[in-house]
Amino acid sequence: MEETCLLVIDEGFDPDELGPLMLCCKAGTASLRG
Amino acid sequence: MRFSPYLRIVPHPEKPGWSLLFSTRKASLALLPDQALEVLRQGRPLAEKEMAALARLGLLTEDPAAERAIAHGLLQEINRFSPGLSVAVILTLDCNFSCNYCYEGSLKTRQTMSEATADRLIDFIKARFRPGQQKLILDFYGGEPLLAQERIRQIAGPLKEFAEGQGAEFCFTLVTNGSLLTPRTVEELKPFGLQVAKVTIDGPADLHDRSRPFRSGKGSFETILRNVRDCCQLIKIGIQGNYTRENFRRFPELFARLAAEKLDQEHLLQVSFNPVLQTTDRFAPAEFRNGCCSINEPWLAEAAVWLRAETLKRGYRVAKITPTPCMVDLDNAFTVHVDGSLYQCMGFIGHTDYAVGDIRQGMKDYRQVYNLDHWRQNEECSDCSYLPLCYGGCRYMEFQRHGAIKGVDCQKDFWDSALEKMIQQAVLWPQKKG
Repeated sequence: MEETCLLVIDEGFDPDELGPLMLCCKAGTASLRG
Repeated sequence: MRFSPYLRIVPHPEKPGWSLLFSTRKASLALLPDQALEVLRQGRPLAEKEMAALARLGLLTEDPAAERAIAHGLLQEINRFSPGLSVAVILTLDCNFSCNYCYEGSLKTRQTMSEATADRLIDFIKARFRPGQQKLILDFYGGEPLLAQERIRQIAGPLKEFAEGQGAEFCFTLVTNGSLLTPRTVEELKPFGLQVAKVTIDGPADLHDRSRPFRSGKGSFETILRNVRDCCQLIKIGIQGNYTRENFRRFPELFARLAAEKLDQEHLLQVSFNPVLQTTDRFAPAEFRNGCCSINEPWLAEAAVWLRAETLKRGYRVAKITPTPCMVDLDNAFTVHVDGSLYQCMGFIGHTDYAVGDIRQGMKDYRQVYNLDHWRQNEECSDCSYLPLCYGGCRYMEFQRHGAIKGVDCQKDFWDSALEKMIQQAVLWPQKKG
């Protein structure tokens, strides 16, 4: 078990970070009208 | 420890011998030498603290079945943690634009929410806002919401006072064509809680003016750009643009103009380009035929990845790839139509079969009509590594294709084509926090 060079780039998200303002689809296919 | 069922491994785009590990469930990202990856592939452990980090990030797991159970329960968890109430309000069906792909289509009239409906809406929202909720967020849509500014003030004023009286935060956003978003208007609406405006610009001037002219036929590009420039110090402004297969390659021409106006990443919340949907319902504009019918159309993955890269290269923030629930799946989000009827997704307004009640009589059980948890009945979804990014896809697209939400809107082909490059974009052009 040797030490490697793991580099954390993004810790990701917690569900409680998901506020209502984040509502949208990733590819935007149904994101915003107007 | 084993690899998570939601792990995607892709080569680092610039560092041979290194791989990126991304979790579709956690949206976490780590960099690891290929030698270390090979150790893991052989079932051997790395150093203790690295194993712990990889487990924390959801990249490795002791128990893949437990990991799946977490992913399958994520929507419930999001609902449990949801800190507030989010209400989209269709203020008016009136609009001063004549967009060639307008999603409202023949639904567009001069109708604006009445004063009495707005009063009832205030009471309805107050009753739905539970003690302990931390945020009340309204999204004003239309038509063009800034044609109904008096109604904005009528609704936002009392709700701001109400929410703040409960110790909660209040704000509202506008989804606007930008033509009426002047500094004076913004200054008038800010005390009522205006924080964000989402403005649509469809690429460079000639493209935009063709797809989003004023009702008179006159181009709107210069008016919008001037307003964005003049207001970007007053509120947060996000720009979105709607492209087609025929015109997406010209969208980056917009960036030169944004730069000339000094509209850089410091002044814009986010820039996102989305494909124009081909609506087929009874409201759809009859002449428009250039929209996309499925996220899995092969050109779309190419366009989405390429435009995202072009945007990131210039330093603008784009939407991160994260589990993002559909509004239909959220307990604390709904849409109020101009007449006070309620919908779980703003795409369905006017389609009364999908109304889930109204602000006078309350909300009905909508599980069946919106086919909630449809992905749970689909074995392929259950084992799909993209499940957290999709959860059965977009019900509105499914409805446009089949006239009903019969099944899932599978996004597998799109993610098969796009995800690797989107993960690599995170290290090629890291985003600054907004």
